[in-house]
Amino acid sequence: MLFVEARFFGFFLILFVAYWTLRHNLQRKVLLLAASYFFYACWDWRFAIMLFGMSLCDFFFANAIFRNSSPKTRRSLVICSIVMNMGVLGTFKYFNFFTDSAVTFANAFGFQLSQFTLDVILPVGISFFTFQSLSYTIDVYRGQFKPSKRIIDYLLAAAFFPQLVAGPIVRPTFFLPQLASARLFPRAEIKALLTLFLLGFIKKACLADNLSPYVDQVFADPSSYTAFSTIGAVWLYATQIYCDFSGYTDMAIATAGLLGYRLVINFNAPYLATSIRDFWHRWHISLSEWIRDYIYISLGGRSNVRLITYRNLLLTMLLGGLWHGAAWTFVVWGGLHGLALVIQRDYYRLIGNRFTMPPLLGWFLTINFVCICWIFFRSESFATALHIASLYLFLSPGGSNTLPLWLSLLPLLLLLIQWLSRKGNVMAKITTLPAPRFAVAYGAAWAVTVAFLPLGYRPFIYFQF
Amino acid sequence: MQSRNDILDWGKNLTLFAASFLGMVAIIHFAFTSVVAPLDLYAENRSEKLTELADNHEKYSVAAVGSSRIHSAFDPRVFDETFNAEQSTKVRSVNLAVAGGSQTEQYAMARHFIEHAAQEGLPEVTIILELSAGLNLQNQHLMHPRAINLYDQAVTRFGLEFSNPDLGLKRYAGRVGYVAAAGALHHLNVGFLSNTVFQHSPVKDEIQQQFTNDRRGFIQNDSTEFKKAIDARFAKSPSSPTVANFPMQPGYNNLVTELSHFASVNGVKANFVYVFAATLSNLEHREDIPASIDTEIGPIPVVDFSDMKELADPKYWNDPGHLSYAGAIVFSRLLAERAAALGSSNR
Repeated sequence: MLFVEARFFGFFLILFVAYWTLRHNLQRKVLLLAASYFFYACWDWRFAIMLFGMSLCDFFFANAIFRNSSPKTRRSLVICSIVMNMGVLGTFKYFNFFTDSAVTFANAFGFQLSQFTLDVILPVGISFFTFQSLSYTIDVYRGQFKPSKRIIDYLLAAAFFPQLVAGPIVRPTFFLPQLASARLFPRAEIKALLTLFLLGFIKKACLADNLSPYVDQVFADPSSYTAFSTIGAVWLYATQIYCDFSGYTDMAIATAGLLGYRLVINFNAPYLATSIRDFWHRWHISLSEWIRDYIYISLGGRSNVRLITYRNLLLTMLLGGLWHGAAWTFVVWGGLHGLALVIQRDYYRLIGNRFTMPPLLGWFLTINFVCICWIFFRSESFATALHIASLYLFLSPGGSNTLPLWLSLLPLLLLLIQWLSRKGNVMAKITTLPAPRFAVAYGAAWAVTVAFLPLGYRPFIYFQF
Repeated sequence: MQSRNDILDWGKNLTLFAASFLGMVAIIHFAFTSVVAPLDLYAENRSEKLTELADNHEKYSVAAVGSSRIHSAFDPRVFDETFNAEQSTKVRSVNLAVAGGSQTEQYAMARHFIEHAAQEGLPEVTIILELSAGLNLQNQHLMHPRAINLYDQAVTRFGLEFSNPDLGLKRYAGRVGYVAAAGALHHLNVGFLSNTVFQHSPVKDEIQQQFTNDRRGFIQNDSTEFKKAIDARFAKSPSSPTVANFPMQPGYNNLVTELSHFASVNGVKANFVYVFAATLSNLEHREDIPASIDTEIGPIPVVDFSDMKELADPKYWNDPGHLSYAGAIVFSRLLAERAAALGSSNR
């Protein structure tokens, strides 16, 4: 069930009315839990059972860790949790990738290994909910959080449907306290939440899905397109992935908000970033904070030895790339970002206050670097990625097909609109409209949105993660 | 949210929302159907056959409509050559079947063909309708441009004629619900602005290729996988298939009646022939297809290929659902012979 499907609107309307009709917090939580499992089971009921099993195990692991004073036992328990979560993730997502890579590596050295592949369906959102679960047991192990004694609370935190399948990665430590008491109807925020949902819907259904065929055409056959059109397609992909992912997040935050719960912000206008570090403070914030807290810091984080810091940074970003997909192109994408972060650190160390990068120049360099990295993220193979990258950087001649000019300029226009709306605080102005006027504007906006829906659904890009 | 005033406020705002939504939908729908751009039969990828029909101004007197089974089976050159050898009145046929075509789709395509014939000044045409075309009442078809763009008032009404209580409550409700939803989405203008702004026709070249050499049909796929599937079907086929009753629907009757009336309004006399296309599943199961279907304009003959008498040879099949080019030659020749023998006429 996708947020943009008609059946989701029916599902949520029934849930919303039933939820706010119930008086007691426990009744509401039971309803939400049932709804969340129903939502996930709509993808595949077997994965709902798997999610339940894993959540149950982590609930008991966390409580056992908390109750135990022996460091060895606590360590063993958290390792069990890590092995379970990473084992499930590795089996479903990375098994074929690692075996294929091992076979290719062995073949390169003249050893013939037989191919062994696992024919499994990737559970939707597996990368998200395993990371959420891991953060819980690790935080309890680190003594940073007291585990929940109420199993229903933890099960709901692990399976809460708005953020279950594509984030944001909401740590149980953030969400669980909200479950302690009955939520109040979000009367004051309702206009903002409804507007946020519509905005997310427009980004995902009207922008990302409509741009996708153009991107697909160019990436399928880049040599037949001119360099300018290829650059245009890369920018379109950057727009597509942002609209797809942030659109989903907006709808997730709005949906949770309409039920009285807060989720973490996941995007903060990332394409307005003026440096790579700034970009990673704005893009998929919940993931970058997760890998910082549980990989970078676990590796040692910032060290007195500069090279160790750089190593930790690079490894973290390489693993971050691998998280996105079981392919070397994703690893390279992560590695490039890691390298850029290292270079930026060195830049500040070596040049420091002697030269302050003008924001516009910083923005220009950042956005182009990010777009070049997206080439590796999107391409099916290194050959395609390198070809498109060379077209992007060197404007190589060749190719005769072109994309419409207005389409190539659309990403810049959307970025300008985003910048202007943030400057003009448009969201605040919308939410201060009197309710009747808001209702009329909202209805008209939905009508225009519906008319812009592409015919045929495309899955959220980040569902594959 | 509990006081009476709160509830009244909520009710008022929801009403304003709904009124504003529907009002804006009406404005957009009116603007795009009447002023800015007429709605195409298909929003993407499938308009090419109609475009070719409109662009080349041929005087086609026979059209085959239906699903991909007819799209791959009907070769106009073979049909014309065979039919014209036996008839004094010469015909020129065109293949207007569309992959994935449904009953409602062939209804809409046939209407376009009749309009084209009227524009070209043809007094009489013959339309070969596919009895075996499905209804495509699934979710993925609901959100396909063909579903949305097709379901104007006439097509919606026609679509409802394929549902009746005899199907059982679940199927009846499902079909009515689907058709009503498709009609609602059409009138809510779903996708029209999007398809006007973001235009892409990646398969235009492919369809144009299919129109070259006067073939106007399916291009072969040589696939080892298909060949294996075909051989497997023939290998496991029983000596005689099981036969079940053919479920008649008012829609089969009404399709002909409505098209005949539409043709008459456009000053064209339309004759009809129904064809039941075969698939390899007919080696195991088939339905008892009637020799003719009674309609308000008289009995319409049915040419039934599901008995597989002439097509039971692996070389005639491209895949388990579609004939190969060799099969299309046999199909088209036989159809022409039978159409010529029938006179393919109705009152």
